[in-house]
Amino acid sequence: MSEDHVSRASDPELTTTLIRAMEAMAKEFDYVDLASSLVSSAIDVLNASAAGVMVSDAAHVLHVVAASDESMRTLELFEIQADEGPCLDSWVAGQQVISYDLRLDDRWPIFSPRAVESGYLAALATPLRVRDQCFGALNILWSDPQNLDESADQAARALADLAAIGLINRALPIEATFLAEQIQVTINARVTIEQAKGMLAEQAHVDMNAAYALMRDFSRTTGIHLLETARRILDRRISAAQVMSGIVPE
Amino acid sequence: MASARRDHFLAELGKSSGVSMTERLCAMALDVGADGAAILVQNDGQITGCIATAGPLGETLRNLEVQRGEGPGHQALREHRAILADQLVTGPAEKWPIASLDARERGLGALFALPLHVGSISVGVLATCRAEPGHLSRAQFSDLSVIADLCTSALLLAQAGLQEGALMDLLSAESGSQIPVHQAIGMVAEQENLSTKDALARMRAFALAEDMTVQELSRRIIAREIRMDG
Repeated sequence: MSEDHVSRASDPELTTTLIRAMEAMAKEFDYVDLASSLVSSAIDVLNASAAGVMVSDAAHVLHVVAASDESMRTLELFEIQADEGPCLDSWVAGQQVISYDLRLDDRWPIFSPRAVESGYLAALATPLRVRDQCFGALNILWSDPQNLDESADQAARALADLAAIGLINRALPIEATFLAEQIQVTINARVTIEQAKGMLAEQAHVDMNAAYALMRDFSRTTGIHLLETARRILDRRISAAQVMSGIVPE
Repeated sequence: MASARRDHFLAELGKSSGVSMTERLCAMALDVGADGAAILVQNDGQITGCIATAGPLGETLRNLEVQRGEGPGHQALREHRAILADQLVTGPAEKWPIASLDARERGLGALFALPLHVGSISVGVLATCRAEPGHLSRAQFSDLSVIADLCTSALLLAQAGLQEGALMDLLSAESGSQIPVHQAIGMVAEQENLSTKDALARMRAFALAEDMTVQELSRRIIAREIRMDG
């Protein structure tokens, strides 16, 4: 254990940040919001450049449910990990997977060059687990590999476990089938959000990233959850102007 | 995005012939520990019909869900999630008052309903039932979910006017990045003032006519290189 490790693990600032992350996640109503909160916390706590959450569907295929950045480039960097990448390896093995330098890492011939091209040089993936069931992984990326220090794996583990506790709190009858059902709901929620991004982007003449930011801001201002916001946009119950002004129609 | 489970069911689907694809999918759902299975279709958020049944309790299931305006199938549709009513006999009757009473009268012990949807696009519900109460195992739920996904794809492809032969090829080929497709669906729905379901059908038809994949078309729509109304 290095000195750095010791100092970081007992860092009161880290503890405070983790508690804040837990409080933020505890407030989230549905799993998509929870996953979004998890990626923001991961960026803050671990001084990271990007983060994403992937969960497995019933057919054992991983799907992106949250990403720190909604650009297609970043989303796809996570999405391709359904086939290959640290997220997939971490989920399959149920263990953390770390790469300190993706430029020298030959484990992922498709993922690594694309990550490097997007400016990410180091990666960490942590399995998401409830009891003995591994249902996905949290993936964190750094532009500066120096920020992936020796305490990062512990902090990431702590965040992933906090998120899993959040899941348990929401799912009292935590039977295996129930969790699988909730995950299917979450994956479909994310698809609904993508469709709403497209519709809003077209209405407001903005790109997908901006469309997502508008939805997210509207959701925060009004207290209407992200998924419900997406549904209302798709049902044309709220207009782009209303989303932009944060006004909920009567 | 290889999935051994999906491939397994696709292979099963390819083996049998004679009856329609939906009949075959329904029979596969029956094999997941059920005494009856039905594929219910929706319109405007209401179950309006049944396109396939299987098993000794298949017809009972159809009558229950189609004739009555309430029940797990309706609830699955409304709430966009699977409804696993594993204790129709001993469970709380207030959950599905009408259907539950009826189900008991007709000898149904458990009823499971999975929504057939892709985001906001809903095509119906896959329902299965058992004479005896009892919950679905995780493996059974997973298998039913995979079959439900295949039902959704098959119904959406059929609505885009594809014949069964082409349908099988497309089901097998469905892979690659879906995120651009979902986003483009929202854009096209807005551009042409269509429902998201009709927007997808329109995109499929366009892609087929222009000899490109739906993914490729979607990327070009997002890049604003193609407008379907222009």
